Amino acid sequence: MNSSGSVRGAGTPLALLPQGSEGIVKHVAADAVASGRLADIGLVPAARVRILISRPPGDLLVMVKQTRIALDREIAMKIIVKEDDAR
Amino acid sequence: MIRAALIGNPNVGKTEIFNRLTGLSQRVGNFPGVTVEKKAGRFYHRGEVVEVVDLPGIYSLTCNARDELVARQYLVEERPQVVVDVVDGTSLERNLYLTSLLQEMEANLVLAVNRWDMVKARNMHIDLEGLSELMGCPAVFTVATTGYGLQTLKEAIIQAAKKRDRKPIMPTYADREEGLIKELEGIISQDRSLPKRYPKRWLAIMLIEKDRLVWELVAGSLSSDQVSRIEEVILR
Repeated sequence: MNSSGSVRGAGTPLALLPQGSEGIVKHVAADAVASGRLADIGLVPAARVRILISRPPGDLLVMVKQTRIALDREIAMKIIVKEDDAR
Repeated sequence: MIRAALIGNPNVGKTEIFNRLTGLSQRVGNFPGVTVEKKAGRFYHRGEVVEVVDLPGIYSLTCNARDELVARQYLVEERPQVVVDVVDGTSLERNLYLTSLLQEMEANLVLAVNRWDMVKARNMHIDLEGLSELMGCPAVFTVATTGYGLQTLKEAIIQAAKKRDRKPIMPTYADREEGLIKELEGIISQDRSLPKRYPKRWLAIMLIEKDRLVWELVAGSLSSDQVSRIEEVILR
């Protein structure tokens, strides 16, 4: 799978979205503590996320609910988003 | 002396508000996580002495992160008379989540809506009175970098300390969850010490969230029969 290999309508891990793109969180496939933590920082279903920095294999910098959040690449693989190219 | 605590998300200007209030010159970094342990200072206003504790910048109040736990333990164990929640006026949606958690803790809140200059610069509008009514607590616009609103904030803190009979507003959940909360509150009420030391509703919600520390606290205080009734409700 490459960074632009998302299928429209299907979910893609946030870590695989290209830098500069946007996605809408569909669900978080992590354990309860990690999902809870992600929800606390704003990564909940329906939240819009913009990828500010993503240069594999490095970690990610994303913008969610008007705040920049650094994300471990491994955890970003568990955040399933729908790529949003409406804007 | 009035005891107040300052709390808020990381990078909202909370430590700067603390320095403005107390006249201290704490180091303010422009990177997250500056406030790791709590710091205290005091101010004098209209003959009142107010001790202010600056708590870590956090997004939530779980027991899974050390900074969140420092803040939470202070709030539930020390019970400050006033809790000043510093929110970034330019991102209320994010910031008011912590506010809702503080409401659940039945904190006597004062909202400091900071970065008001940025709110205006971005042509955003905040209905301060509406916000105050919605959250059930006083709300003040501040600009920590210039000191704007700080006198009004001091006044609001002192007024809030004197007015503890305010009926708190807090989030309500779906009927099923509210039913579970009521049941758990009922069991907790039978204990001699727990309801005096902690808000019952907060304990009940934390139990449903399977919070490890609240579970230990409650299990250590109730009888084994009551504990198994709680388990039965939570696992339902």
